[in-house]
Amino acid sequence: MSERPDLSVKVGSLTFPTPILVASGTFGYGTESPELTGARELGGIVTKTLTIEPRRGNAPIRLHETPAGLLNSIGLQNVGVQRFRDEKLPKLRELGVPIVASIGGKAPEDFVQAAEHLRDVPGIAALEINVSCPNVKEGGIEFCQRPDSAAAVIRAVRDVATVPLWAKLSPNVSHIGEVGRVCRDAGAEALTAVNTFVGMSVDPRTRQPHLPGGTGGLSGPAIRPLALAKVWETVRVTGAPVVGCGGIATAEDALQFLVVGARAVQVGTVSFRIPDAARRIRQGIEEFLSREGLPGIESLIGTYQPPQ
Amino acid sequence: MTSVPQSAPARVVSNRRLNPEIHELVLRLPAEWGPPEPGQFVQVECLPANPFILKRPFSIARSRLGDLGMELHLVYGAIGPGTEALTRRRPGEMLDVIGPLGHGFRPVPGRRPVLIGGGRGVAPMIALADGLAPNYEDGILIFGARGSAQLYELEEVPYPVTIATDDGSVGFHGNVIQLLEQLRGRGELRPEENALYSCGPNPMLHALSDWAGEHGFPCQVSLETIFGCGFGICAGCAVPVHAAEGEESDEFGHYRFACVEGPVFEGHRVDWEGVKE
Ligand SMILES: Cc1cc2nc3c(=O)[nH]c(=O)nc-3n(C[C@H](O)[C@H](O)[C@H](O)COP(=O)(O)OP(=O)(O)OC[C@H]3O[C@@H](n4cnc5c(N)ncnc54)[C@H](O)[C@@H]3O)c2cc1C
Ligand SMILES: Cc1cc2nc3c(=O)[nH]c(=O)nc-3n(C[C@H](O)[C@H](O)[C@H](O)COP(=O)(O)O)c2cc1C
Ligand code: FES
Repeated sequence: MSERPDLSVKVGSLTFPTPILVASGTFGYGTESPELTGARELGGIVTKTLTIEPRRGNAPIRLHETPAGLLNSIGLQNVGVQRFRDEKLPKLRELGVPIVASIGGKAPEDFVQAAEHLRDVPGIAALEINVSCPNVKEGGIEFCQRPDSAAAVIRAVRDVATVPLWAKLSPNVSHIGEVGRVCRDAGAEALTAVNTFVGMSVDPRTRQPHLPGGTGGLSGPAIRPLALAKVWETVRVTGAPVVGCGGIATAEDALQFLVVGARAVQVGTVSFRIPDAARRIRQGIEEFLSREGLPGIESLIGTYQPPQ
Repeated sequence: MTSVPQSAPARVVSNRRLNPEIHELVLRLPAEWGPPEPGQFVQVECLPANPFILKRPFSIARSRLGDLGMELHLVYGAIGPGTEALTRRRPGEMLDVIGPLGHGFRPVPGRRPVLIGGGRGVAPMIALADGLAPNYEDGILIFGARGSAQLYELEEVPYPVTIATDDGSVGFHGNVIQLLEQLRGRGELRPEENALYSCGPNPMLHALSDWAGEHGFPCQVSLETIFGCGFGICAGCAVPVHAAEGEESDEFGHYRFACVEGPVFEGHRVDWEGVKE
């Protein structure tokens, strides 16, 4: 009998028990039906993006399914950072899983205030700075489209935060690597790539969009190859620790991201269909490593063989 | 006690057409599954190992614990790719099911129940009739449909069934509101004695909630919206609600998750202007 492979990974200065985390906005506050989701066995939980004030979110309809994909326009509905800290976090901490709090806002001050509310709060391992939401009018994706403003946000939060910062990057840019480099230089310890792709769907009968806002963010297996290319570019250009995300539904999918150099991955939309998908993916990775005779996940990360 | 939701493989026991638009699927789950409460729903995989990334929500029309396990009856219309795929599932196939989910109907103590199902929305009314009958003897069930083609036989429902059709082909000629108005006019329905429970198309639920509010009937409705997950993690299923009395604002600025806090809501709490109809 060989020993169980070691799944622990380092992402910057942090160590995670497994490389399989769940993505922001696709796992609630982490405490919804933990028996169903297997939340206790995750490598980490990234919370719904939290804003300084509670947000009502966008008017329904908020979701539209497309081939192997999901268009969403949630609009960052969240309880606000204070209620998260006081009401949700105590329960979330009980799961005993590393917590990454995602924060969002319109201007650097909003992010700073949100970060201040989470400063020195026990149980929060890192802050993920959401500079890439496609579904809010202000303070979303345009941060990534104007890298200076993304950098300004990261620098401002860096000054007040007591934990490592991860910058969550938008794929809706020409050069994600450049944006990533700017964010890293501004003080992001790791880069999460990617958020959703801007997408659109129209009902030919009514001539109206399926989502009332017109466009939404596309996630799910449909985006996996697109996301993988963005992750590879981010890894290659920045050399920073990257957390891969986008369309991961199976262990095989997750392994692709790890091979190209992601130090961990986040599982998103698939949890809607299979609540404990992230746990199953972790099991699949364990089996893969055993089969391949590898001692641990670190011996696989970044082993991609690019074409010469 | 509300049962803890589980994800489990269910065996298709039968899947048959009840009328040109409506099908009935019977699933068998392990005996330990549930039991569900009236008004709760399940998320069903419509095609095994499927190309869809979402399961589809269906109200539980009936649940029975038998020798072989927990049998669930679902009544559904084939309106799109998911439900079309569901019509092709054959006995013996296994489908992943998550449930029981959601907040069901809460019986109003001491009130004679009036159950109103519109079209395929009659499904949870059957479960509710089964659930209420032991404690509330004199309930009635109203089944509203466009015409005879949308009706089907309701088997072993413990309450008398009254049918209303828009085209008058069967039963009362008119919609369910017109029928309720007639019953009220005759003194057979009284706001201080009855409680209304309903499921059906959103426009019907809207009209019913307005009517109930106007005349002072308590009224609970089971709402449909687009679900992503069915258990509270995606924020896709928002339903706009009015603040409760004395309530300033709440955590979601008055969007509630239909999958967790619903699908059953008090009719007057729903902000119908914001509900997609
Ligand atoms: C709590 C709950 C309980 C339900 N119970 C039942 C039931 O017992 N029986 C039953 O037949 N159906 C029920 N439904 C509706 C059922 O889930 C949908 O019909 C199904 O998801 C459609 O999937 P599809 O892939 O066939 O069609 P889709 O392609 O998903 O939908 C076809 C078309 O209908 C629209 N649509 C689908 N669902 C809705 C909705 N809820 N509101 C507005 N527009 C919509 C879509 O936008 C699309 O244009 C329930 C829904 C909910 C939320
Ligand atoms: C319904 C939904 C809500 C989301 N909300 C957020 C959010 O609040 N903050 C964020 O950074 N990303 C959000 N995302 C993006 C995901 O975290 C993830 O980056 C994206 O969905 C791609 O991964 P996936 O294909 O595995 O879902 C959301 C995605 C979905 C589908
Ligand atoms: S359907 Fe996902 S939160 Fe309600």
